[in-house]
Amino acid sequence: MEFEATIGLEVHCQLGTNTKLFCGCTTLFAQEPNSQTCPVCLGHPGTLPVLNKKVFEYAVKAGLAIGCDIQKFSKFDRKNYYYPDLPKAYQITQFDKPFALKGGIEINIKGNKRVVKLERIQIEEDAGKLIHTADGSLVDLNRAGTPLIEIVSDPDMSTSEEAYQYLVNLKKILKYNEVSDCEMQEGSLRCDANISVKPIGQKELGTKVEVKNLNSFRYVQAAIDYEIVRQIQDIQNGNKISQETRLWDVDNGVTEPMRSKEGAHDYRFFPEPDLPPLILTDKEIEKIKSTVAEPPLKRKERFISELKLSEYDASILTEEKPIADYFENALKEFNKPKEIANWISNDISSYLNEKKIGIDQFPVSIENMTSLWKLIDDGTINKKIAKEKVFPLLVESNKNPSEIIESEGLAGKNDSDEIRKWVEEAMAKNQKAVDDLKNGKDKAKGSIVGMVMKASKGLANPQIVNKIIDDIINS
Amino acid sequence: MENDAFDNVEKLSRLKFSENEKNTYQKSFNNILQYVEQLAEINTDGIEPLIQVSEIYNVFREDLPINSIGVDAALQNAPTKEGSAFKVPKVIK
Amino acid sequence: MIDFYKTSAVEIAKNVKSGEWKAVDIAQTYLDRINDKNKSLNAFIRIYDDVIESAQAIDDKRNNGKPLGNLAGVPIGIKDNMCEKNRLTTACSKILSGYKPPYNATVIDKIEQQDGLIIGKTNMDEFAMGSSNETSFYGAVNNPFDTDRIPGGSSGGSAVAVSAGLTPLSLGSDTGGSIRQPAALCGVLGMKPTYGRVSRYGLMAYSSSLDQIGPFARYSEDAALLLNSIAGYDNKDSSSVDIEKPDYLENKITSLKGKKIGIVRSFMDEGLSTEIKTTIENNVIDVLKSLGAEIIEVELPHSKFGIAAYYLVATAEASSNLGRYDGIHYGFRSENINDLESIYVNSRSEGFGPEVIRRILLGTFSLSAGYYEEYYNKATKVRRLILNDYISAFKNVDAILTPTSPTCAFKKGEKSSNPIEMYLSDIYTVCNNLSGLPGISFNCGFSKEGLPIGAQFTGNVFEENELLQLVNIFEKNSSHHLTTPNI
Repeated sequence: MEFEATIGLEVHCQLGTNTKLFCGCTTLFAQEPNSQTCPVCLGHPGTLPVLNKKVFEYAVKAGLAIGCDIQKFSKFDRKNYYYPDLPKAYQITQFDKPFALKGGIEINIKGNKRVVKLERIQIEEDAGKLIHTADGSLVDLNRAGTPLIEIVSDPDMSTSEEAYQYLVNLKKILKYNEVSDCEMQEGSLRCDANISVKPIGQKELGTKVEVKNLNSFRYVQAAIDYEIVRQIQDIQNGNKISQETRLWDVDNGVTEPMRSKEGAHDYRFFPEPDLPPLILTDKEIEKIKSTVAEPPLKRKERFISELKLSEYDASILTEEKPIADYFENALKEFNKPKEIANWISNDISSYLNEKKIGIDQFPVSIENMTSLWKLIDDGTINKKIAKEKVFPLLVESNKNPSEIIESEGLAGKNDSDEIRKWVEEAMAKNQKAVDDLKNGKDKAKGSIVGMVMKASKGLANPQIVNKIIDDIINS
Repeated sequence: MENDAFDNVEKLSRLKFSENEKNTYQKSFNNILQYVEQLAEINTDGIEPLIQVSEIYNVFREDLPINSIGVDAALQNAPTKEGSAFKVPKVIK
Repeated sequence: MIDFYKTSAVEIAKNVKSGEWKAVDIAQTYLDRINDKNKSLNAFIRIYDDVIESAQAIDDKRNNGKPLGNLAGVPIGIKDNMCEKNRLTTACSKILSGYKPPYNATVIDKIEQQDGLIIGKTNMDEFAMGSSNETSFYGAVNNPFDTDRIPGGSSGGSAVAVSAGLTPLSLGSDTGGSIRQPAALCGVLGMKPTYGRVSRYGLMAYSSSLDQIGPFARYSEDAALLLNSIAGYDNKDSSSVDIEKPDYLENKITSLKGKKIGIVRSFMDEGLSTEIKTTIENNVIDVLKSLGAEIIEVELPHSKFGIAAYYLVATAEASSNLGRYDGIHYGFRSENINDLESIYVNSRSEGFGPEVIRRILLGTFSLSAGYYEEYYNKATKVRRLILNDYISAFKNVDAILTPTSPTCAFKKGEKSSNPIEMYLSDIYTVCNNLSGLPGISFNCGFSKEGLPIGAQFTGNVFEENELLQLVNIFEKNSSHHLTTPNI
């Protein structure tokens, strides 16, 4: 019997606000345990939550960016359960009236484009963190009350590759809209996968297994692949799949069942009496919509179709929004997309990688960068010198490139007479190359050009050098 | 109410009773349930639940940090602590 | 200087402000009184040992030329469910033994801003769950009019504190009648303001959508003085309402001409002691009529379901609100533990008293899978029907007059074994909480046995001033509130 898998993903994304969801404590990473706490997020008796406005704005922006139906009415609910990292013994979340429904994330599997559908997005608070030691568990509530959105997909994927792409593209949208830094290492983005298998063609879904502890997209992919094989084998061996939560064991590359808690969960959801509901008008939704970034995939396609960039170049340029923004801003000053793309993907990227910084910290202004490109384009300086000599000085000083060229004496030599002299000297020293050239061996030209460049300290305009060589040989 | 259902409520509430206590609680519990049964006779078709009487909306605060109370104050009431953290018996994963 | 019954808070504040009286002297006088009388009443469970210092600070402030606030030097008792920074606050529960909150409730800050003198914590039913103040971890409170009887609950200690002249003012909280019922049973005035009028920040939640803090006083002017200080929007409480608040001490009325007072026929019949019924008819309705008020019958047909709806809504919220008492982060932890689960189960089972446990069980049940619709959700719909009844009634009247409690103070232990009978003590008060409306209970006479009888005015939303004015004009035309217990 052939089987097919059904996969749904639940992504928790930390919104990039300064303070927590319901109190003014900061949300910095890696602080002393319990140093970012107050009576509210410690769950002290008598404390009350007050909603961070920015959380709601960011959440709605994310929802709009993902194409969701933003709900004009939404409210908060309590999810009741006991755990040491949850000091109130309930999590404030959204149950039956979340702020966003539907929406979707585009994926492209070997040229087949489709949209993975979403069920909902809800705002909720994070729990604290447990640190397990030899003789106990330590509770750090710094993270308790951190604002999250939980993005729940439909069970609309069937391979780990689809899941991987869904996550990559979702993350890109969230980062593009600057609602989250999406740092998986810091827990800003977390993913749980729901996986089931069923015989191909069967309508009803198989029993769902939830896999947690997936700290990278690659783990998600690996865990899904492992689960699909495990579940199919189990069924083929005549076993029943039990509805359970499993943990991904990174070291051994397997999923293991979590210690099952007695009885099924009954979270006793009910409306949070301490928080008034939320109401949005069309006008408010439109206002937030105007701040939503162009979707990265759309932008990429636009770069390909309108700017005639290659798929490869367009991918690199749209990987991160600040790069795409830099590219498009530069394009306004210097309308040669392919040239800019090359600079960004080579020289600029190498510099950023070496310094481990983002393009938003790139020291060269768009004005100075495009000036340099214009000077190359009009032959004031040759490209090799620009890359090797001017660019390193430019990133150091962010000075006007013309000034650098002048003070360093790096302007290209375009004087035909001067260049003719260097060519003649080179030819005199290399009779063999001259003979070869006369015999039609064009390759020989390179060594003469090389000598000219050496003599001119690299400043001779290579086009003029080539032309003069041709003139002399053909005369 | 059935024993099973009562046991479930006891468990969900994180409470544990002796047999005697259980009999007493279950008896008064059943009496109260019987009393509240009277609500069933009211027709509430089409009536919206009333959760918050003020019926206000959109109450926000700005995203401005306040000072945390500090680790010592955070832990001052903790039955057990270690370093800067609350301590509990090992939570088995 | 001080007559513990005749001296009003308004008078104390005025004289301390002017320098006529010293806050220190006032404080010492009341401390002596408490020292003398509290043992037999058990109204206060804690008296702060720095009261004199705090009073001295108020006097110093004045001596330094700074103006004093509106509560200058007035001794105030605080119900043990309102958080005071670094002072024991336990909701009279074992599960909060040793608990010192790291912060102040908003009402505490506001009282301190007005130079009020908080002298200690008053006894209460555990987590405000009770109508007799018999469920306190610190023992029952005795009614000053008959110490074998209960003072009512849950704010029994705060009611007795004022009734017995231990303080001129105190704060209580009212979730189903917990201010008004003990006020009635102890012969003082108690008010539950409109939901959202006073910040709940720092009030240990019993039922978040019903809880409201309010004053106990002997005189309506004193209640107005305290309400002036504690009412108002608080950005720490999302359910507090951002509307203007009047000066409750201003604009006192002198006649009831044109006032329409509603009475509910069904409230005056079934289940009400005849003595209370005739007292209200003779002592209140007749006085109101003589002052020019028009008495109009109104109907609140769903109010008879109030107790049932209340117990489902309140306990559901309570079951969630009280989940945090789990022995992990603060409060009592059982010694009988071997793992995490045993901390939860044993700390809670040992730390909560029986009435709290009963309510947690009911609330957990009414929210649990399969029962939510039939119990919790049904109750929230009935709640709206109850509110709708009031909305209709207030189209025709300015206030509604009802009894506060169906009986006078009963004997200790009399109703402890029958929860439902106990719950019915709140039959005339719970609907205000379910609908959010303000209510004020005031003394209107005494039973043959000499026990106080209370009557209640219910007002439209945010009409606390109307209620205070009604009681004020009643006080001027009767003297029941001046009768004091013989202790």
